Amino acid sequence: MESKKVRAVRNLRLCSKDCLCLYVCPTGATDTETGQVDFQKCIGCGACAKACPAGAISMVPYQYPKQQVKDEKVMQSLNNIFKSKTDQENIAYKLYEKSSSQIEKQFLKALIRSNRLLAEDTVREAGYMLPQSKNTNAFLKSLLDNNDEDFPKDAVNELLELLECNE
Amino acid sequence: MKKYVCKICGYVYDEANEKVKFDDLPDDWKCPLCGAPKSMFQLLEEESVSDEEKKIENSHESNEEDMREMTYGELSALCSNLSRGCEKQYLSRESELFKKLSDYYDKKSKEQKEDNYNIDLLIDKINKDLETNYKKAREISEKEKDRGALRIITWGEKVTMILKSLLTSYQSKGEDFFKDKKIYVCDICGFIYVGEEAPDICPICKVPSFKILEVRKEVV
Repeated sequence: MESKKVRAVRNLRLCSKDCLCLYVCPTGATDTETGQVDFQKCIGCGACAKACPAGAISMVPYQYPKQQVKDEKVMQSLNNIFKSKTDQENIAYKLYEKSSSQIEKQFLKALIRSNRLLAEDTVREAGYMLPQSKNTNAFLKSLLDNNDEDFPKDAVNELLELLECNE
Repeated sequence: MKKYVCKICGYVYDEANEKVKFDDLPDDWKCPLCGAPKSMFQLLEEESVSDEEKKIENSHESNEEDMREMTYGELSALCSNLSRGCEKQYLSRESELFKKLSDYYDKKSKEQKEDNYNIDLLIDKINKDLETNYKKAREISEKEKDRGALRIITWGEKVTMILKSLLTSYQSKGEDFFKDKKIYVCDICGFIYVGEEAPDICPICKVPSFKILEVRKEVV
């Protein structure tokens, strides 16, 4: 259904099982065993979101607006930080592997996780916020050149099929 | 009477309300809000700063290559970021696929042999981030009014300061530094907290505590 602009999603952490969504939904889309709303049945009317006393349902767009255009120099300066954080994650991992102390390993594990989060958040602001962006699309296409036997190219192909570029 | 402010979380130690002068606090005194060491506090003065920041403007490094090859580590983090991005949009299959790619690169990155790494190298990298990378990025992002970039620069710089203080404490005190303490990582901004119980909200990104996760010791 191309005409549908939004669909309902349920935040399972907030859902308090009041089940008013079941009562107000005109198509029975919220009546699933997975806990999530059935996207095939959802017509995007928003009745469930309005009725939910826990505020656990929100309406999300099928088509996200275009990503903000980023200044080239901003991206470069963030990329330097991004590279540095991934290097630090790697150093921490190599130290973790070498270490035989339980406490040191625990600390290094925290450092690995912290640096990964910093790297993710930085690259997100460096032009890779939306999975549907031109940047992501170009990145995925560049991965198709990888012919290594163990490379999961089918995942790349499937992503290119599923994620329509919005720019 | 002076005031001192925590560079990490903004907590103010106001001597007017305290029994002990800031200088007389013991060296191992910690910020009551975020656990940052005493050295992370600075004297609160009316609108000073900027001198230090002006210096940075002159210390530009040129960025030659515009599009460089990414390392396996970068590729993995880029893919796990996109996996999170899909998760936020409730695109579970897409999220899973990006995760698969991320894991692939992560494995490649971990396979690379490297025996010469040590804690000092980690601290060197952190110093370079704090002295150069974050300052340069902030300067450019302020000029371009890029609020998203400024957000991650602000959070990231604070988290990096915490990492530095934890690493230097660990170097000087060894494992005693973690004795009887738990270690937590904020799953949003990467803030590491060492203490008994996670703070109610993250002192850096302000997310509630259910997103601040404990890193447990591994069973040997």
